[in-house]
Amino acid sequence: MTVAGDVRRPAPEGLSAGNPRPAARTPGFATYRPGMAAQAPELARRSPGRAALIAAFALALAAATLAGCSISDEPGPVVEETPPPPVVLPRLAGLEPAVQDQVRARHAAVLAIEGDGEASPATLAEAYGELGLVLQAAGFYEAAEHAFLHAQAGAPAAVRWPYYLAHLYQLTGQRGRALERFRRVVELDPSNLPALVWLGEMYLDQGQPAAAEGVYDRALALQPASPAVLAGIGRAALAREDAARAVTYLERALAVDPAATSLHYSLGMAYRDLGRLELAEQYLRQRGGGAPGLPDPLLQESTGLLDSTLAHERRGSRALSAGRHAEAAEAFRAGLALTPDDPTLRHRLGVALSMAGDIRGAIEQFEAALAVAPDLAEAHFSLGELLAENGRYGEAVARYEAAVDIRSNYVDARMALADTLSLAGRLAAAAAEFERVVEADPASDQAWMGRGVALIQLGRHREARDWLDRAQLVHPGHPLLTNLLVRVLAAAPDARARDGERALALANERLRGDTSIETYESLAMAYAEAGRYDEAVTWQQRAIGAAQQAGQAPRVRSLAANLDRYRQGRPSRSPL
Amino acid sequence: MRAAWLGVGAVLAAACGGPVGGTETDPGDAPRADADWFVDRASESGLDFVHFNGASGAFYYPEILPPGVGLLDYDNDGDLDVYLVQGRMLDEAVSPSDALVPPSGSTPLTGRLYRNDLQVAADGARSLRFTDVTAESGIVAEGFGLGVAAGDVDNDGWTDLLLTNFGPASLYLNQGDGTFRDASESSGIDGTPGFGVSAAFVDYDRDGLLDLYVGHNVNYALDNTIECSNVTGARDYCPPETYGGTPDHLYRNTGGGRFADVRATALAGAQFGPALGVAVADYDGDGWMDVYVANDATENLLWINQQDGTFRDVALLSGAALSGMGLAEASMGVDAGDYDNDGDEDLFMTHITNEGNNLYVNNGAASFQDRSTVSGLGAGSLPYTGWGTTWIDYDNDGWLDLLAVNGTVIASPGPADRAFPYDQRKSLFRNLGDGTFEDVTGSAGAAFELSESGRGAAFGDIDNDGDVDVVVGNDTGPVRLLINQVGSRRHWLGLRLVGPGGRDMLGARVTVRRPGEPVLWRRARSDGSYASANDPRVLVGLGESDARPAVEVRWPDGRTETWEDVEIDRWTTLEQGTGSS
Repeated sequence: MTVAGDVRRPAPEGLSAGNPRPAARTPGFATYRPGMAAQAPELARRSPGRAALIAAFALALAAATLAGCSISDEPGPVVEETPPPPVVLPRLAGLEPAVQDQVRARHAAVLAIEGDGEASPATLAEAYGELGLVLQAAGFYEAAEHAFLHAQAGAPAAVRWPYYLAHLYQLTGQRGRALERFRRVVELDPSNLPALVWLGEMYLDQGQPAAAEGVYDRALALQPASPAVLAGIGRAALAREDAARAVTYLERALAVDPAATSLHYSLGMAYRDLGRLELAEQYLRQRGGGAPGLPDPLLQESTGLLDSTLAHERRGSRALSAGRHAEAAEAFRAGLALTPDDPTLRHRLGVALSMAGDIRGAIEQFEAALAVAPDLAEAHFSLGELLAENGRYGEAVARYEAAVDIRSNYVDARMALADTLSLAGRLAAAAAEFERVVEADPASDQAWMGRGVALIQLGRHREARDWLDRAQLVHPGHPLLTNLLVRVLAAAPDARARDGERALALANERLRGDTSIETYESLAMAYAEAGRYDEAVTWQQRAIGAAQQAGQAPRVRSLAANLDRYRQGRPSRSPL
Repeated sequence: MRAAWLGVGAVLAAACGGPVGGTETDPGDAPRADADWFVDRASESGLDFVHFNGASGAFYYPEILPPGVGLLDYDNDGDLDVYLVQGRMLDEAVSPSDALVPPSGSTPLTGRLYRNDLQVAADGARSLRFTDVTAESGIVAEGFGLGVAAGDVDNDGWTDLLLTNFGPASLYLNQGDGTFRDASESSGIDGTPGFGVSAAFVDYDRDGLLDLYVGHNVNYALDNTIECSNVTGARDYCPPETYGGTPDHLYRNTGGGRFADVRATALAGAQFGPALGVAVADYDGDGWMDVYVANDATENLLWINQQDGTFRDVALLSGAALSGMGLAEASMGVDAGDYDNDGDEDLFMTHITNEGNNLYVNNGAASFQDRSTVSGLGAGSLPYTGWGTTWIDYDNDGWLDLLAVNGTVIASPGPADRAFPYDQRKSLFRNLGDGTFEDVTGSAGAAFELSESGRGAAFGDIDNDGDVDVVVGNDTGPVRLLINQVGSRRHWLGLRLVGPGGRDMLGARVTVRRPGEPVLWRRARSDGSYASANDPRVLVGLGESDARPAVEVRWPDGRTETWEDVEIDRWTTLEQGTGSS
């Protein structure tokens, strides 16, 4: 089986290729990491809650517009409104009951403290701040802003509230205001590394790389090995078109934090600017989404604030993506405790369990999800994956068929169906499914390959040749597809499919330099078909040597059979 | 370099109804703020079209994307006519009157062609009047329309129309008598199922025939609609990742009104994404047209013409595939233009809220630097989801400015009676000539403060007065005709570039030389923006200079001709073969 689906390989942006609820609803700035400020929504997009921030921002923006354009982003010093605007509790009807309870409880706490004549301003500030946190987590940014402003007014020396305000402004696109708040945090606490890093980010966002670099330099003096700081200096240098300096710092950041795969892109661009294109391409190929790490206790504190199904779902999904399967399962279970009939959440719990090795538990969850939502294509697919892995191909095929019946454009499921049909020996059906995959996704080299192999196995060699010719147009020079075409041209039992000269030309043009066993064997087939048996023997011997070196004893035996044929002056008639 | 005119804060204050002024330093350097720079004249000129997207609460994915708009002179009378894309009920079991927003404009619900009956009085006063000529035009666009492209595909001197739909595209051939013939089937265009949005005509193989690139969106069918929800828990439109992208198509014009789909051979080796915007230009300066594709939430593509009938995607190494942080963004509209007057094509594209729009600056060899933040364009666009956009020298000062039409894809809260709550205001950024831009939206006029679900936008000199006007298509809303009030206060050069058969020579490159003034480069095009077709003519702002320029044209076939002392402040037609070689 060559295709992994939900169960074995969760997609970075969610748990399945066809996440039925891609737009989760719980926002939260705690998912951001420094170094990603400008792209914060993209991070959200990579998690199952990809649209939450965007949606929440749209909410905030619209609310602000209605309130008279309160989301202007005027630069300049922080001027506090005196007193801060009252916190008006928004309409909570659209939220999950548990979240409504949380918001109301914190609001009630504020009212209670306000009504208590003996409560200290600091106590009230703390209550406002806590209310702001939960409002922000629920996506009520305007109300959250007001709550944070109250908190800041009551505790002007506290770092937390301007810090959260800064993140709120950053989140809502008010980068000028965010910059001022981060600056204020740094004034209050000059050694606050996260604030310095975020301040640098804001300067970069504002197109002020020199100012950013100044801030990062201060941060570097505090923590010389911080990957976030090193990366910041590198990115500032890149923005100033100093590629050499950028490379120095980005490489250092990557050395400290190899998981910061997002730096590969910046490095690629820096090396490109230095004219080192090969190195640039190498880095670009390795690019990923991992941001440089930065311990950030305040952000950490605000994570996981909401007790809602979707908040748990997001936490679980994040944990799952990071490979923390037990933690993921725990979060999904917490969500199910609030919403036991949520089939998506139950499916995700099944995914987490299967990845943790609890196959039985996973199957139970998938079946439970389907009991609630029989049309949940992902659950059919995931069950199919587990069944196929256990060799229960017939049952797996039924599950995959159910998945594609429900969603005809579910490419992963269709690919798995084709693969499994092939494994079950239903080659004609497999060939047809592979073709459907190619129709939906011509870039799928596995589907091109799968149909080519199936056609050969069916003895439809001319069709296989034509198919693989078409594949060359879409994937020119693809080693495996080229190998397969060479083999059909060289070794098909059907003489009408063979073309020895073309096989040899193709092999020499496109496969020379490839040191795989497959290529050695294909070259041998091509030489043999061209009647050049000495060279065929040489290449076959190389194939055998490579197979021996790789410890592939059965392969050595099958290769030896053809070697004998070549020594006897007979070509191969077995393309596979 | 130009002095800043209004501080950003003042502009924002003005946008919110606050006082204007404060930091004015050089009032002579920019249009006056005492009158709107753009005025909506759609209704009074007869453009009474209201888009209908058929939304019924099922949240079918295509509903959130249209409409595009088209500008073309279909009757060759010298002024731009307007084609407007219309939708319909996607769920045919539901009556239009039961839609969330029932139809309120022209019926039947088909795409509409409006003829421009522009009158220019002896004193230069202009009277705009549009007449709906759909019925007599022969265009029967009953599908769920998305976009428009315009170009003369059969070299008869009459502009033809390509309409993208949720479903196969349609090609209408202009018969030169005010009517069009549906050639979708005979041309081979409608054989491709799918979901094309933006399309561009381009003679990529320099054979004198316009070929066609169609960007396709997601792998979607109505019966595959998945339920998605937004931050409030309410049902909303899904993001593109839900369905995944589908391959774009490249059609080679084989002559005789026939097209061959050459995607498999010409566009090999790239991962197609959900395409929304297409901008064709010669990005690497080799004289052969290349194609840039803005994809929604996946890497953008830059197809560099290999001069042998094939293209190679180099977007990643070119720096134009991803944001400066290396992340794929939700690119919507896109346009190419020489904003820094250095002779190459720079890219601007609009994005979803909180990503910020992107400016990729070309070094002349299709290697780009992301200058979104340092230019001021990134931060200024963060609150908006942008769609139609163009490099528009709205004030004719010789520097290309930017206009973006905005509207969200995720419902925003508000009064309960807003049945389609995806509206935002438009944006206008002024090029300060030093690599940076100033947000001047607040001065652009009341039309820019309207909050609507903006999508397509087509740009061109609709009243032929020497500045660029805009037609804006709103999803589930009325069309807007934004007439430029300020550009023609400065000098300008207007060129129509035609081939021997009278075809607008899309892709022709214009070099404008004046004594003592910087050289300007522009391009004849109808592509760019989002799902829309622009004025194929070239309008060059000349600022205060009244010198008659020398104009060099590099035609799409690579040949170059020059015209000396070309008249300014009027439209001039340059025909291939009549200049000095």
